Amino acid sequence: MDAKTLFENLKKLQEPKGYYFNEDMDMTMPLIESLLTNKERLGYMACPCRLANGEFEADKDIICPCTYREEDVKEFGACFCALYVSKEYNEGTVEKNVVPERRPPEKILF
Amino acid sequence: MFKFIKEFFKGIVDEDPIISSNPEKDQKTNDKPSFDLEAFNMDDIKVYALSTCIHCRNAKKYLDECGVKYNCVHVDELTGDDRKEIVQELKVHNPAVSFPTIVIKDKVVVGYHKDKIDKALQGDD
Repeated sequence: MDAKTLFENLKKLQEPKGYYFNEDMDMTMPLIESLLTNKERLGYMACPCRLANGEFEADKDIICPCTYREEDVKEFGACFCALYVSKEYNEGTVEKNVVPERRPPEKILF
Repeated sequence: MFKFIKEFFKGIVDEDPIISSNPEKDQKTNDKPSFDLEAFNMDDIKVYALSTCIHCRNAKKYLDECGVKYNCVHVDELTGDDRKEIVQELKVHNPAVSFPTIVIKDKVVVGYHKDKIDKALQGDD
């Protein structure tokens, strides 16, 4: 699958849930490509901005969309990667800050 | 008189290696902090990054634009003991083990914060 197809497929799935792709395509497309890189490397689409363990069970929480997305988008308008954002974030009505890491470091095993 | 003014400005520009390096780039980067490029060598700046991370990529691009040299380690590309060792090293600087983590001399910048990178390069607290 190429990045454009993945983008379209995920958009259809995620937008109805209230999660939008970052309008900044210079961020979004490289991140989508990195998801495909991780799929190839690890067999699953681990978060491109986090250090994956390389084992499905150990990385369940960071398989995109990660389990931290909901809280991050609620609090900061964007997930840790800023791949998924709120409508308000794209509209520019929320401040675009760096999202701090919410995943406990103990989850990094290897 | 004009010659004097020209010489005067040339003098100012020459003092700043970032501004004088590329006039086209200057347009975009003239908000860059002024700092002493000579104060840094490659071992003074270390970037802990992931090859797949866009924030890491942007942070490195920004350091490149600033004209500084740095050591970059892509932690996701390491395996075994090398990886363990680097993760332990990173933990000392940033217990959250998040990326990018940029160590500029004794200052640590977690995440891609241009303003914090600027301050660290300028040596501000």
